[in-house]
Amino acid sequence: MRLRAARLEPWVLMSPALLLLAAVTALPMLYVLWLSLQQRALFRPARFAGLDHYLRLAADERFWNALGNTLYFAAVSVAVELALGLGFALLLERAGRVRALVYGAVLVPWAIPSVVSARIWEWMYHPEIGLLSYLAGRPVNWLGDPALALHAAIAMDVWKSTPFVALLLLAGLQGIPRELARAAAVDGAGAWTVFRRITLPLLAPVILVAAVFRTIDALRVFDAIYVLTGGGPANTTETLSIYAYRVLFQELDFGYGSALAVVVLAITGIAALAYARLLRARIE
Amino acid sequence: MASIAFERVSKRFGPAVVAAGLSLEIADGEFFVFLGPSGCGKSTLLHMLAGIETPDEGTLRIGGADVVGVPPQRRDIAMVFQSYALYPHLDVFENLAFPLRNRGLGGSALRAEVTRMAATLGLDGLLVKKPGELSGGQRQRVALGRALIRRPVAFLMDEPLSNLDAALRLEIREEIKRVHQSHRITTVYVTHDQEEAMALADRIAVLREGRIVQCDAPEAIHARPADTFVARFVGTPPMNLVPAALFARDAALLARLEGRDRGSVTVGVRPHDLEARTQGNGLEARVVLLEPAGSITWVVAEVGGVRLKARLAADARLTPGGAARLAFRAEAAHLFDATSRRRIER
Amino acid sequence: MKRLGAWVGLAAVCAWSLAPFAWQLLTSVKPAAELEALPPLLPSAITLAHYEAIFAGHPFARLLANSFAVSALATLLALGFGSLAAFALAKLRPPGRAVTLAAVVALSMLPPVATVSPLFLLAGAAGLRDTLAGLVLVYSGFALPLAVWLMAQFFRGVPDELYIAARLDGCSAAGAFAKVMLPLAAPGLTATGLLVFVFCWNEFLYALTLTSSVAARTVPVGIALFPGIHEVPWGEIAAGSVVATAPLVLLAIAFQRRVLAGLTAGAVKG
Repeated sequence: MRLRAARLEPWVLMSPALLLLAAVTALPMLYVLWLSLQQRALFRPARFAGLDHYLRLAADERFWNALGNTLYFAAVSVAVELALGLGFALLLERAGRVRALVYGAVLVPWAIPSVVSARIWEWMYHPEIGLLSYLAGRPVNWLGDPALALHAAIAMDVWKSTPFVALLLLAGLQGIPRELARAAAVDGAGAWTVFRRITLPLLAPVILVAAVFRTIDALRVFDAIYVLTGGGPANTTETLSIYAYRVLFQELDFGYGSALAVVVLAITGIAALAYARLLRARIE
Repeated sequence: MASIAFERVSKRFGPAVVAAGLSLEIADGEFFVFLGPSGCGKSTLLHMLAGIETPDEGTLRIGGADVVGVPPQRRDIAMVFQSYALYPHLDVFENLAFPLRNRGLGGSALRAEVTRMAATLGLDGLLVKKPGELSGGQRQRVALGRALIRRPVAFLMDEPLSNLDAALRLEIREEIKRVHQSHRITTVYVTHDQEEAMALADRIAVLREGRIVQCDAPEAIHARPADTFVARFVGTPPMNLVPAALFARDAALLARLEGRDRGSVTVGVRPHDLEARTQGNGLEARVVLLEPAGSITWVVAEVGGVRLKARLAADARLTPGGAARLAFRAEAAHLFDATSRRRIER
Repeated sequence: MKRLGAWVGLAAVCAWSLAPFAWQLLTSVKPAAELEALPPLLPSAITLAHYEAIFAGHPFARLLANSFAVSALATLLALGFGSLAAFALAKLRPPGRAVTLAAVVALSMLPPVATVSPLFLLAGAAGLRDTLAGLVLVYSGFALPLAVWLMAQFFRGVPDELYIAARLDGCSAAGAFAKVMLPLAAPGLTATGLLVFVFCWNEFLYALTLTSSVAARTVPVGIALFPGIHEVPWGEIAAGSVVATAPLVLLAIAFQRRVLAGLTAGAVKG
């Protein structure tokens, strides 16, 4: 009897957290799955719709456009952030005495709310009086040109997220024992060889973690792009999350919108599963 | 003061077997040592006694009562750790006072107890310092004090000396022995250091893969090891073991050394009992090297492909590469079965 | 020569990080007439007109208060529930803890858009729409995975023996948590609290959908909904941006080490 109480103890301590999580996360997830199978649009009778929404989704050009935008956004921004972040991390490692100053500066983009970041960049992207048009020498319709808009959004995300990647990679770099590089130098290896043969392989796990974090965040991006462009022009910056949001709260079609949301969930779920598997290996 | 009993206790951690049907009784006031190689789960045995882990099977008794299910804070046991486990955010006084405060003691009564314990262990001037400011020896004393202060019925010690340097180790070891002799609290001590075990224990249980290989007084384990594992584990330098074949001749049992792995028995002779001479009776050997060790010089010599360690005889003159004779008294030899590795009594 | 290269590189990194915000700061103090001027240059005079405007014309003070209240309360709730759960997972080691922790962390990867519609409906049913309480509940729920993960890492850094010693010295599990584990994980609490606070302050989608009036609206929503009907008040937006960001930037710089510890905890071995 007492034994069972001792076994229950940890679960009792975890229950407030688990209950809150269930209420705010797990329950709504089940609810949205259920909603995606219902007809719940304004001015239409509520009824069970089965897989209708998913079928509609498969044929919906706007969905495929949004999916393409999302994947392109994720691929490009994560790649650039990793490369740039690695470069920053290598520089930050040399910071020495000005470390506090530099770290502080690098944390600023992270600390800025993504909505504010969007407004900052919106101002810089102003076609006539924006700073970037001035630096380019002529008015450029950064956010209004379908060919440019998504890349403008990517640039904004890169600016905001690279510091986080850089700091992660920096921590990874600092975990690599100095003796390894010194031993390699004694063996006659140049800086590039040391980097390629020693630093990079040892950094690989951290790079992977950073990549997974950023990929999942990029796949579910909403805030910054919504405020920057609202999804336009001509839906060229409409990501899956934005499309789902618009269907839900502008067209007020909770059924179809939920189906779209479920797809976003599935896509990030796959990425999250890969990460959870990585994580399991590290916990034990 | 209480006796402790393990009754058919089994426990595994994943693939590792920590205990397999372990049964033994520790008498009230006894200093009992679990001796075994590092990582064989000895700490888990202590954790089960403390109530932090529960056995998969079997019963644990403290003072005769079944304690499985009794939470740690009610078992009246104290534990001393390898890493001292002093509360870093509290000063020495508060560390010592912690168990008493949990019992509701306070004010002047508390202060009296703490100052008395501090005096006993020579910690008087250190009461306001934090653990981080103390030396290793001082920290271990505070840990001892914190364990003693609430007069527990039993003491659990998890390799408390491993983190100390050689000189301190001896000093604290003496302290522990002294404390045990004056308080006579039942102590269960875990270590991989056989010298420590021999010096401190009333009885030693040699553990291997969750089973007790031998449980006896230290002298008995040293003089009559139950198998080759115990023979090599206890005693420094380790016992020489050589495969051999037994045969009878002239109504006497003789063993011929076979070398390598052939033979039905294993003969064991401790280096202390094996003498290396320049000439005379004994096994022909070739000297490999000499190890001066204070009053004794060890000779590593090769006989028939097997390396043995022997004690240099007082008048012997040996050089590496040269010849030597190794001799021992028949009574000093141990015999083990080659397959089961168990001791053969003569 | 190499040193010079490193210095130049570091300067570039700093410039790159600070420039956009610095530009916004400059914009916020530029007189309105100069905002539309070309080329965009430094202001000739510093003006606080935009800052006055956002507090007078828009209920910015109210938005700040809402943001602060919601973020602070949600942080406290997430820290409280989260550290209890993290302690149980890290020190009490119940069976199934690996799966539980993995599941909790996986939940943090949820796309907010996935649960926004059910939460909208549920909040309406519970009468929590457009209330601070509703936001606090939702935010603490979403911050929990972060809090649990980070605190679990910090608790793992506290040696098990200290927990065992506390139990044997007479504490119950909860007692050991309060008297020994929590004080020793205090730096972790600060780091986690900072990250959770920043996360809550920045949150946009739920604030957007779950609030409809100034009663509960938070700063990010206020910033997003800024534009005037005929012309975009860039100066005021800039001022709003600075005000919205200043607390966070100050926190991040002041508690730099804690924030860095939190960001990298668990991601790197050790």
